[in-house]
Amino acid sequence: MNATKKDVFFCIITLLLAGCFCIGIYFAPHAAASTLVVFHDSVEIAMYDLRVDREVDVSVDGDFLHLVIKNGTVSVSASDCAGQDCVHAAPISKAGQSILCAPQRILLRLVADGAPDAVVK
Amino acid sequence: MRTSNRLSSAALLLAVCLGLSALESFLLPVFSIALPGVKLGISNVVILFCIGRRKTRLALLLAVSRALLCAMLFGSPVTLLLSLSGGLVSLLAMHLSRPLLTRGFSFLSVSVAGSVAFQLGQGAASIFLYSTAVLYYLPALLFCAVLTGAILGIVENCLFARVNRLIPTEE
Repeated sequence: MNATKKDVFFCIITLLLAGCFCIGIYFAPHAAASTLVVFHDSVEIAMYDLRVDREVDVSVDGDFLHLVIKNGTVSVSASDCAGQDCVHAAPISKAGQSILCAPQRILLRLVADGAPDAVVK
Repeated sequence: MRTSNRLSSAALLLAVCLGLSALESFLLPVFSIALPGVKLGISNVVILFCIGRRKTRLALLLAVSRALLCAMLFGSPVTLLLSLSGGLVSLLAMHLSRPLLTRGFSFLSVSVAGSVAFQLGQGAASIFLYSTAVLYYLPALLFCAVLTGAILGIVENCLFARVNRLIPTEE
């Protein structure tokens, strides 16, 4: 069995639809992010001001995650989760972007709201 | 086909599924450079094979068993939920698009439909578990799903006829 012209047409249509989504999301105006909010099991556990460069250890229920906040960008440099998806994720810098560590149920989300320098619960 | 033959065929297909999933777990960092969690989904070749033979119930059994065993071996309860949600939606999409094979389409289209449905199902589970913030990655994941689905479809086009001859059909 070989690929046919109909298959190519099907893929092109699907790619175009996905491409429209990409254009809409990536080129929509984003507010500059000012705060990193850390969630565990959908519960907010910490907030950090992105204007202050720092390295933070997030430790919840025996799970460990090392954050690096530098020049308004957030990345995960180390984690003891099984998949390491969070470590391999690209750094985030715009409001609405997030990094998810599924095994540890930790979500890092950037917001544009103003916040204190740091709040840890 | 005798029950023992059916059982051994299913066990063989599950073993191949798990072996391909294990291989993929070693390749994951290569694909995750651009986007986290992007996988080729090599083991879906076996699911596609079952869909091609009109064995949707066998494909369902393989999909659920694979998700359970992979979560136990390589993942966690959260990855089980994400894998099951994506896998079941993907299986439904491939079952519904199976008639395309008799209308001038090949496994490429069925595979692309399954890959895109997998990302949508997994995205819905992520929203339920976490928040809508994960939607930010969905468009790019859909784009990668079309590419990986096309690659798997081309592989299935090459393999289906050859492997189909090796496994006896039910009388």
